[in-house]
Amino acid sequence: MRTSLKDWPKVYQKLKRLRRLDEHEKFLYARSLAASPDERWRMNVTYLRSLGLWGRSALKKFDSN
Amino acid sequence: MGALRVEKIRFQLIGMSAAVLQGVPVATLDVDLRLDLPSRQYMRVVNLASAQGAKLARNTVVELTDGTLVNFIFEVTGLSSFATELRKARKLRFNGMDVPVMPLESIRKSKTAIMRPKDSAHIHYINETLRALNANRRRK
Repeated sequence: MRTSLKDWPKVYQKLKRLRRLDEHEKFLYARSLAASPDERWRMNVTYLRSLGLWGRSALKKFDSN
Repeated sequence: MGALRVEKIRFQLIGMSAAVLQGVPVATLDVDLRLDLPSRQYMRVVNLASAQGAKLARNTVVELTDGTLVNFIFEVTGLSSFATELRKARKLRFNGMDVPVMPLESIRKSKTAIMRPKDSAHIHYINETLRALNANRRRK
C-alpha cells in the first residue's frame, strides 16, 4: 500500500509493539516509512539546509567523499 | 538522471541516498549514482552533468543547480557486477521518474564489506528500518 507523510499515524499504530525502540524512535520510523520517496528526500534536504549543510559547502565541512 | 537515460547510460541509486528513499531515517549529503561505465569514462558523465548546468565539486562529484551533490560511482566494494545488482533493484518513483534503487539488504552488504567508522551506524539504522518494515507489513 502506498502511503504519504500524512498517513504516519496508521504506520505508528503498526510499530507500537515493536521492541527495542522508544516512543521517539517509533515516531521517527513511522514518519519515514509512511512518507513517499520524494517526501523522504525533501525531509533530508530540509534537515541539512536547516544546519547549513547543503551543497558544496557541506563537502568542505565534512571532507566527505 | 533524465540525461543519463537519453544517453543510454544505465545507472542505479546506491548508498545512503538509496537508503533514505526507502525509509531509513538518516541524513545524507549526496546522491550516489552507480553507473554502468568503466571509471576511465568518468569525464563523459561529468560533461553530461555540466551541460545541465552542474558544477564540478570533486573529480567524480558534481553539484546540480539546486545544490544537490551527485557522486558518480563505478565500482562498489562487496557487491556483484552492475548488471547483477541492477536485476535486484527496486523501482521507486523519485523526481517524476521510475528510478532503480539498490535494496536495503545490498546496501547493508556493501557497508559490511567496507566498514568505515560511519558504516556501523548506517548498518544499525538499516537493520532497524528492515525490522520496522516487516512489522508494518505484518500488521495490516
